[in-house]
Amino acid sequence: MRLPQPKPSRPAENTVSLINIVFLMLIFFLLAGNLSAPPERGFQFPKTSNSDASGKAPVKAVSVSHEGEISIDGHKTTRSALPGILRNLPAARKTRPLKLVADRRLEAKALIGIISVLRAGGFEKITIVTVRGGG
Amino acid sequence: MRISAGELVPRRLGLTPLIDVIFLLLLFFMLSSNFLKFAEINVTGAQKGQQTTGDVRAAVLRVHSDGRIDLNGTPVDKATLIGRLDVLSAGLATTLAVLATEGTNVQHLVGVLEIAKKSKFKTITLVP
Repeated sequence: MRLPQPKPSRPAENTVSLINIVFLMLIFFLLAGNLSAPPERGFQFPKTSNSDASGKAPVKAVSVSHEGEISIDGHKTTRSALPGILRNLPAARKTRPLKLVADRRLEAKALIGIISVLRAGGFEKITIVTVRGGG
Repeated sequence: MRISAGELVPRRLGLTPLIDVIFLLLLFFMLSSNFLKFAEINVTGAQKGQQTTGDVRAAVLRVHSDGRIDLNGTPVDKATLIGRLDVLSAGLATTLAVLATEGTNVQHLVGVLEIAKKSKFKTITLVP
């Protein structure tokens, strides 16, 4: 006589291993990624193969879009208004290196012009932020 | 009438809220972090007020819109540029002036500046 097999009771799923993996992923993303908003949508950093690496994301920077729109600390300005704004910046700010974030499609002449305005405005050290490798 | 309180049963701590929060954190960090490796190129050049005292002999590097490079008027390619620059800096030239023609974009300029930084030139100036 065939008896119906007793249903095998499913063991309770172990959530601890799941949490372990999720924890590991969390720690990975915390350490490996850097949290910084890109300047704006569609912005393309200039690429370099290897340069003076800092690895840090640019914060508190002057950025120039590919159409030549300048924004300083997130506030949009124009080229003609830039000297006035630079005059009002504190002097302590100008002794620190300034990070210039420029789109790689921007006209180089426009960028050089902005750099000379920034230098005339008192900034002592200016660096262009680039991205290494195929960013 | 006194009603005896029911016996307190120690409950196991639920793991579900913990997992919820960790999942949310994970999602946040996955979406908001980027993996770009940033680098910087110094473009300050010569210090202010230091210019044209005595004889400053500059080599002129001109970057064209299609990526061509002229060094002192003669065309060079990127592969041989660093060798040519080192020859010039060993000679009389002390500064390197970098010019960009109309239509050259920042990517071309940055690519040339990166090579120029590796050469023996101490001061590299961007000329508007």
